Amino acid sequence: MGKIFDKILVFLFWMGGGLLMFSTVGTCIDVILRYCFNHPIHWMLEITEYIMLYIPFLGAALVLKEEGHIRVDILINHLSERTRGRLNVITSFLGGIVMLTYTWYGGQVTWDFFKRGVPALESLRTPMFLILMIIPIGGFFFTTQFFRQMVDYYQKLKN
Amino acid sequence: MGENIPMEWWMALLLLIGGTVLLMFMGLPVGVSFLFANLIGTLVFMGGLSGFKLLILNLEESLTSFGLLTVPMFILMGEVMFHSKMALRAIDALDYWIGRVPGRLGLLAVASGTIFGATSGSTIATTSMLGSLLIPEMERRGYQKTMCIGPILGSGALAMLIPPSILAVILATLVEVSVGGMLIAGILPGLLLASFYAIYILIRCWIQPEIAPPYDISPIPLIKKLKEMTIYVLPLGLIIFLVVGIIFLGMATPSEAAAMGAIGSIILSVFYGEMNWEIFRKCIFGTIKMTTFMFIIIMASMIFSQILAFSGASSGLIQAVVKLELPSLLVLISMQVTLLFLGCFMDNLSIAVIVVPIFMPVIKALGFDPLWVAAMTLINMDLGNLTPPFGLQLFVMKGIQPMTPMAVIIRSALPFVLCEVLALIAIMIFPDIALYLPSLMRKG
Repeated sequence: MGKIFDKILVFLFWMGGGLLMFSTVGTCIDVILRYCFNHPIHWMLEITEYIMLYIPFLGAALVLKEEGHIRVDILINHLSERTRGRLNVITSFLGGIVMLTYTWYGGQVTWDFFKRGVPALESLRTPMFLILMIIPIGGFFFTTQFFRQMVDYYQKLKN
Repeated sequence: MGENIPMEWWMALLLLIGGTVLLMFMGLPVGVSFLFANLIGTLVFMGGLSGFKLLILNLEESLTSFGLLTVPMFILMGEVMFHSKMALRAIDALDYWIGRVPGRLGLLAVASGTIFGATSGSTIATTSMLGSLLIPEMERRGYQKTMCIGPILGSGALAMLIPPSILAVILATLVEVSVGGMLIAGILPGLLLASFYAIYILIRCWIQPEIAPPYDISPIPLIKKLKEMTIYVLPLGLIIFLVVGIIFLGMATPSEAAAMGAIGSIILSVFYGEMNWEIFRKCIFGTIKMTTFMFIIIMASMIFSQILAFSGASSGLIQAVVKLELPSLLVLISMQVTLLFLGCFMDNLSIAVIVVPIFMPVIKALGFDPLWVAAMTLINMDLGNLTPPFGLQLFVMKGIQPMTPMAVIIRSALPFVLCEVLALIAIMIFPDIALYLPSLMRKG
C-alpha cells in the first residue's frame, strides 16, 4: 500500500514537471507566433495561470517526503534528539490537521462549483471545479504524507 | 462561530505574527506555518468557519497569476546552467582575459559571479559552482583561505541582485510593484556591488600580496581568446538579452522573457553537447521541487497579508508609526536594521514573506518609492545569506569546503558583508542607483 502511495506521489510530481514544460514551450511559441505572425495562442496565458496553481499541489507531498520544504531549524537543531523527535511528531500532526482542513473545505468548494456549473471569469470559460479540484486532490496526498511522516517519527521515537 | 472577535491591532499583530513565528521555530514547514496562521486568522477575523470557503478561493486567486511563471522559469535556467556545466566553459574563456593583476582569481570569481548571476537566478547554484571550480585553483596558487572563500561568497550573492533573480520576482509580487521594474532595478546595484568587491580585492591583494601571490600566465594568442569568447561567452550574452533586454525594451512580459531564457539555455546546452536525458530530468526535478515549496509559501503568505490587513493590524501599525512622528528616514533605517537582524536567524524567503506585509503598508504611507525600498531589501536579503548563524551561503560553502572551520568561512565573508552594507548605504543616499533604469523602461 505504502509503495503504491509513493508511486502516486512520484507520478503527481512528474505530472507537475510535464505541465511546467508545457507552459514553458507554449509561452515561447505564443511569443514567436505573436511577433512573427501576429497570431497569438489566446488560451495559453489562461492555461498557464491554472498550471501555476496545479504545480505546487501536485508536488507538495513528494517534496515533503524528500524533506524539501523550507524549515527554520535553528532552534530544533539545538534540542536533544528525543525532544526533537517529539516536536517532529507534533509538527507532523499539526501539518496533517492544517492540510486536512484545506482538503475538506477545498473539496466542499469544488463540489459546490461542480454542482452549480460555474465557469471561470476568463475567455475560455473553464469550469471552476476543474481549476479548484487540484486543491482537495493535492491536499489529500499532502495530508496523508504528513500523517505517514508522523507515524514514522513516532516509531523512531519509540525505538 | 460566525462573529469576528474584536481585538486591539497589536494583539492581532502578536497573534498572527507571533503564532506563525512560533510554528516556524517549532520546525513546521514555513508555508504550512502560514497556512495554519491563515486558518486561525480566518476563524478570528473573517467570520469563523464560513470564512474557510473564501480562504480556498483566495488560495486559487493568489496563484493563478501569469506573473508567477517567471519564478519556475528562472529556477529552470539556473538548474540548466548548473547541471549542464555551461558556465564552467564561460569561466575558462573569461580567465584568458584577466592579466597579471593582484588577486587575479578573486577578480575572476567576481566577473564570473556577475555573468553567471545574469544567467541564473540561484545564489546556491552560483556559490557552489564557483566554489567547487575556483577554490581548488586558488589553493594551488597559494591563496590564503579567506581570499579563496570570500570572493566566492560575495560573488554568489550577486545572483540575487542581477536579473534574473528569483527573490526579486517574489518580492515584486509581495510588494505589488512591476516584476519587470523590480528585475531591472537590480542591475545597477548589482554592478555597483561587483565593483566594490573588485576594488576591495585589488586593494587588499596589492597591500598584502602574500594572501594572493601573483603568478605568471602563459601568453594566449588573441585569436584564441576571441574564439573562446565567441563560442562560450557570447551565447550566454544572448540568453541575458533574451531575459533582461526583452523586459527592458518592453517587448514581452517578464514571464514570457523568462520562458524564452529557459528554453534558450536548454537549446544552448544541447548545442554544447552538455544536455542528455539524465541532466534534463535533474533540471526538471530541481525546478519542480523548488517551485513547489516556494509557491506554497507565496500563496499562503499573500493570504496572510490580506488577513493582516483585514484584522486591522496593518492599519494600526501604520497609525502607531505615524503617531510617533519619527523622521521617515529613521523609520526606513530601522526597518533595514530589523531585516539585517532577522537575516542572521532566518532564510530570505521566510523573512520576505513575514516582514514585507508588515513593512510595505508603512513604506507606502510614508511616501517612499516601493521599488527603491524593495531594491534595498534585496541587498539586505543578500546580506542575510552571508551572516551567521543562518547564512545560507555559509552552509553551502561549508558543504564545498567541509574541512574549513565555520569561523574561517564567516571571517572570509566579513569584508564582503561590509561591501554590501556600503552598497546599501549608497542606494539609500542615491535612490537613482536603483530607480534610474526602471524609469527608462518602455511600458510593455
